[in-house]
Amino acid sequence: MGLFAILDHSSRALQTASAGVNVASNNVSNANTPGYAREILSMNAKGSSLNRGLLLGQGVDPQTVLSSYDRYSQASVFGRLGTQSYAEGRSTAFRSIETSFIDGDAGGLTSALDGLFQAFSALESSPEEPAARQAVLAAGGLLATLMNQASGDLTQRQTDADQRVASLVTSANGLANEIAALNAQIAELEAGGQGAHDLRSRRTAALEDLSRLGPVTVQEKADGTATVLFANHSIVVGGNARALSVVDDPVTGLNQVHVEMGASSADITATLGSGTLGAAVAMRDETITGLQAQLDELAFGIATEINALHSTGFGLDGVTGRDFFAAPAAVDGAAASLAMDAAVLGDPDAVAAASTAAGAPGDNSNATAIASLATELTMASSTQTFNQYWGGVISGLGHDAAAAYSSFDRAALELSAAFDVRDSISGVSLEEEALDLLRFQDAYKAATRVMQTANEMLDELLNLVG
Amino acid sequence: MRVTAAHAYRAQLDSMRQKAAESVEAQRAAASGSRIDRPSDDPVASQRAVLLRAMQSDVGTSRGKMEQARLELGTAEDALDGMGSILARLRELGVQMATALASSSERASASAEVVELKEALVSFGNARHGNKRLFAGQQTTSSAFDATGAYLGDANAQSVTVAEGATVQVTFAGDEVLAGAAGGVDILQAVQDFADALAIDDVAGIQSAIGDMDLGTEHLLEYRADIGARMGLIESLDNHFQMVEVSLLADVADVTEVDPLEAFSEVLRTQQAFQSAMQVSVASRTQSIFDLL
Repeated sequence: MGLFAILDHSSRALQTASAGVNVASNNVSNANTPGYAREILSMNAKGSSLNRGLLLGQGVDPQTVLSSYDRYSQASVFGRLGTQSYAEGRSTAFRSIETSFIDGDAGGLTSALDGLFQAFSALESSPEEPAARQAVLAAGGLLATLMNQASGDLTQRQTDADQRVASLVTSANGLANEIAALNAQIAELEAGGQGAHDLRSRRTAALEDLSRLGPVTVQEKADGTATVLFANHSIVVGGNARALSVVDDPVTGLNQVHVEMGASSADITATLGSGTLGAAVAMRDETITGLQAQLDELAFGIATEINALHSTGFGLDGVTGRDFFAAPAAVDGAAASLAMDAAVLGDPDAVAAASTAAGAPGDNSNATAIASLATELTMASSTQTFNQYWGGVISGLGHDAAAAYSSFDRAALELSAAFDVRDSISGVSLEEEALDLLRFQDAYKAATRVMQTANEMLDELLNLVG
Repeated sequence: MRVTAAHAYRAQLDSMRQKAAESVEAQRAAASGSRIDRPSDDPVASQRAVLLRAMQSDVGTSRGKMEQARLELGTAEDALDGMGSILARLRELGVQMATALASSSERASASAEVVELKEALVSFGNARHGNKRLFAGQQTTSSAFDATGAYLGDANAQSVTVAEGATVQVTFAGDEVLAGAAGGVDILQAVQDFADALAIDDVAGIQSAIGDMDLGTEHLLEYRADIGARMGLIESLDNHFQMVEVSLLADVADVTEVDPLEAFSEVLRTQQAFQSAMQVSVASRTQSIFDLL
């Protein structure tokens, strides 16, 4: 082995150390880049050669730059992102819905419900007083207005959730197209022997964004492409993406999520149990619908029970047969349509406080009967009073919301843990990169010194010749 | 486990977010004084608060109705007291005019006074509290008696439920009180007969009237006794409800309100925790290996 071989070793050592610094520098630069997996410089000893009976090494050989991407820990992140986004979506929606049901001392449905029966109770003491009759009408009107508002508020939230479904489907399509395009580029580059780490990082980031929308499964192929299943339906295969679409439900008119499959499409709405899209569907179709149904049940119960008594009573004008609330046509929509009956609206004398036709202004017996409805078991198959039923609705909402917040906290912890596991394998540690910088800097210095030494030795030889 | 830059950032961010949220919640609770901002804060307490507030409302309304009933019964009792005084004066006149010493002119004069006293009786019979006639049965918006003493009301009475299972009658059928409709002496007729007897010097009629006035007084005393019993019932119910109201107030406070001392301690604790989290984040950022390179 000659001095020129040493110079050759040193040259490769310098190149390797320089590449090492370059890789560390790139890692440091991308420490905060979403989807980025730490790169590692792969080096090999170049091998040995026999020289005058001595087996001498031939220096270092930088092989390639590897990605520390780990598909298993990344798959866990995809799953946890879906769970966390679903929990976050529900948590956010519950926070918003709960504000509609905050009551307390500030008034609201609870107070209005109490207020109506207290007004009838007060009417019992003064059936001849126009003010007491007017108070009953005002209390009924207030309850109807607040029922309408609560129902309208829920309907608006359902509409918002429905529009969100359409908007999220558009986002999912954009991401699917981006992933398909990246698939094509990655396959082309890697087939040509080039690395595509940056493109893979971008694809990982896009897959994470897609996972935040719904249930995503990723199958990586040998050609470098990733097949993406969304709610168990493939939406990206190689460089091609299948579009998601929204189709109006023929009954509810709400957006249903479909995957296009050639000329037909498959409805995947019921299988969206993850991501913000799943959360929007769940809030729209389950939570809000459930609350609306309970509100309707209460409004229907109040209207029909009060009407049943009121219509048998007599007003101050001796007229009977008048409803207090406009009779609801059905339970569905009862809260939205609750209103004072036109026959009593604005006419205090029409409030049927009496139970006889004698035209006795002091007859309060029907007012007594209506007031006592407050304590009668009229709801939930005659097992609860109106207040107990409403309290149950509030409590049920509170339990569901608390469970949603708790799920969100738990999902956030699990996602954080999944990120930690993934990052422990493929994340960038600045301390490691700093040490790598020192390591390769030292190696570079050492190689330079070796080169200088070899050069000096060569000079010595040349001087002997000269 | 390898600790990465993202790991460290996430841990600090999560910690600060959690501490900030706790601090904001503690400040909200301390500022509002309310333990329950939304149903999820305590679903069971939220349900309980709905029921407790309904009970508070019930108790408040019941006490209001009791107060009104007490005032109405008080007015009725005053009227009965006035009627009783008139009957006492009528009896006194009867005793004076029943003697042989009373002259015809004195009796005629007394007759005129008796007629006026009858009008006063009718006036007491038309007693009202607010717009409610108390002796007209359920015809509470019109006079119970006309000027001649003819009853215009009905035979019913207005009763008010002042508590669950407790009903108090607050109006009376005036013809039962003053016209003997439910038995007993017809006071107005007896007074009229008394006036007529005085006008014609009918001593026997005058003596009979004395007995009628005694019977009438006893009759009115029965009503006053009834009213007293009702007032007593209201009094004891109101005392009970007053205690219930205080108890409910305490219950609602227990369920919905925060203990101020605890709330402010929590504000300080969470603020310190948040500051600590921020300081730790900043401190960890000041220790970088790159500073040593």
